[in-house]
Amino acid sequence: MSDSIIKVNMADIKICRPPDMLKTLGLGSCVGVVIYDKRSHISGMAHIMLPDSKYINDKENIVTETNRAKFADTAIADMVEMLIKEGAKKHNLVAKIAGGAHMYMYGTYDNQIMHVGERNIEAVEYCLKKLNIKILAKDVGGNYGRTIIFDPEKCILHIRSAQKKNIEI
Amino acid sequence: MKELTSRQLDALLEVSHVGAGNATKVLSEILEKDVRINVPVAKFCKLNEIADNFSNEIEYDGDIEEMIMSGILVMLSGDIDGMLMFLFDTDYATELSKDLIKKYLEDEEEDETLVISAITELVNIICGAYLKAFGEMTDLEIIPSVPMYQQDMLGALLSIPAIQIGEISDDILLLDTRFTKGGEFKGYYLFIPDEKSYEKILEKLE
Repeated sequence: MSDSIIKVNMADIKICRPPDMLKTLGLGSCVGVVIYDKRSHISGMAHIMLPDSKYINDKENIVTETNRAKFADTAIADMVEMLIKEGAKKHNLVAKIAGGAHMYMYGTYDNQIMHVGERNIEAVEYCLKKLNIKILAKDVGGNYGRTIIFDPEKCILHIRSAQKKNIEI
Repeated sequence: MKELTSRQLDALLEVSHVGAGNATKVLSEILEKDVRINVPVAKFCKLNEIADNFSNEIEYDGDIEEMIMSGILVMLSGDIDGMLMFLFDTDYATELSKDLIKKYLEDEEEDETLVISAITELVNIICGAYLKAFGEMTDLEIIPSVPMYQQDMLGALLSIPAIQIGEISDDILLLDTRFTKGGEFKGYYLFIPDEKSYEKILEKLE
């Protein structure tokens, strides 16, 4: 099996093993969630868009089989299940997260949608905590987009953005 | 989201067409140059395919979601809710804005803030013209917000409209209108009403 960088789209989850890598691009207010088994290095990445599958603006939401990866709670739950199915051990799982920016920050329009980045970060942190998955590192917030690439072999999350220096967490 | 009949799609296209025509006219007058806005396109695509639309138009080495563009977001309120999302090749946006600056502020020094202000003003003008057509053809009052500017990766710029739509649907109706120069694609705007607003618009158009 040759090395490949597997692309995770918006509202999508992918799982891999070393030497393959996972990437997702142009995270604005969306959050990129990486969960991996620190022993076996079996890894997963999700690109989530919204915080809660159950409610949208205090109204009950209809979540279908096909869009679970959109929401923090269902995406994380599904990803953990997929990792375990692949052979990861729940007690070895840890996480790294990035994104959740406040885009168009200098605009004066104040509406719930503009704060979805913050809400996504909160939801992701809450879901991981509930599952007892420790967040080892995070690069969240700000007002700029990020591309992230996770290297399961070294367990490093590479983060790049338009204006800032590239970093690794 | 309800399936749209081809008649409905045509009606939406027609309104977009008139709106784009208005906008071209106004812009060309103000800038005293030929601004090309092409006949709009209306199509459905999946949320995660919005960025892919651009790959057909632009040559970009790498993943299109990472392409740095100038994005301007206008929130809509009044009789309908939604947004207008403008995405420009930054050089093209800068060029248009400098034309605007030169016209009204002869000796003003061009700094970045001024260029951004001018791009925002251009977007205001385009919105005004586009929404006027909508308003006249549908008898709906649509109020644009002050435009919000950001230069960043395409994927990140699209995240807000994608999330907005994503709340209720996995499909987005792209009513896009393209700016071209010398046959080359330079920019786009997407009209993204929310679901309730679609129904209102379609009712009025029938």
